[in-house]
Amino acid sequence: MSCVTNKSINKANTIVLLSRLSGLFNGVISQSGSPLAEWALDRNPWESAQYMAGRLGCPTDTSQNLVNCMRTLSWEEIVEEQSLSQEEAYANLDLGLATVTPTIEPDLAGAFIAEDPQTLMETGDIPDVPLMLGTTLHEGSYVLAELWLAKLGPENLTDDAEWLREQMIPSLLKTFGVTEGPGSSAVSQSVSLAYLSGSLRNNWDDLMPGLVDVSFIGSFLYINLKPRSKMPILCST
Amino acid sequence: MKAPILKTTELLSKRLSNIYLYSFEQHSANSLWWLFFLGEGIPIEHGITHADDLLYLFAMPGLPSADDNLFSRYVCEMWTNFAGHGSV
Repeated sequence: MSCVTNKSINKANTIVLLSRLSGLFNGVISQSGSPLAEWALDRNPWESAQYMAGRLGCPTDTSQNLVNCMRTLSWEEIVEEQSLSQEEAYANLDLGLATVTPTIEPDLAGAFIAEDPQTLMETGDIPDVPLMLGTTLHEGSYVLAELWLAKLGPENLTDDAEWLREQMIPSLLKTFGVTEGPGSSAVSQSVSLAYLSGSLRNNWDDLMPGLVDVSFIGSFLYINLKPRSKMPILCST
Repeated sequence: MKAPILKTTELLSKRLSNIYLYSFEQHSANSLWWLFFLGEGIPIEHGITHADDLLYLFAMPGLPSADDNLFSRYVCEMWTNFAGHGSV
């Protein structure tokens, strides 16, 4: 029996691995992740590589220069910088996962994942082995906690009734990649109605259980609305 | 986190003959939340958070209750049955 276990963002792609490693596995257990979550893939890998290389003082003019420089660094330096970058990302309402998630590569020799995971699931060469997958009940509560540590806590936003009422839900949705257009609040209003209708919208203690629920549905909105491009989602009424 | 998994299940259930979907809902005083965030004073009811399923499958920090240990035996049995026979 083989076992592939790692952090969810990559575990999310264990299912995709199936199509590449046909014959090596007799079954798959995939806990807390799916490659269909938009955050599980980096759709702009060159920008992400340049961003992280730049933070580490490496050149970003060509991929060869970038790679040559990154290879001189220790893994500890890279992991530490990634960790810092992720903390900053939460403060800017972003999960900060782009630099560590798998990418869809051009279909060249040696490419590992060269097709959109949804296409692979629908029409790819997937061996018919048993699959078990699922989640914990409140998966997203830790995302809300990271957001609290990076932004809500330091800026005392949980005591700011107006911010909670007006900005909390749009901010949480933005963290999952859903950005509403200027003057539009259709998505945040719908989410609020569905998950917070019995709560005082300006009171953290009252809001919090509903926000935990919103956190685990967060990426649902993303996968259903996101266009297949590098543009952010602009939801309009 | 959940909807992409439902969608994955929906897509793959058309192509795989043996597929299981679970929701992990075992309440416990133990949680990996405390490993991630102990002492941070975060005002959030964490519930059964990301990775809490691992408490019952691997040696993890915490003081398991009798219920936790019993549930761990169920989970390990289901997971090993699946690994060995493709069914829980």
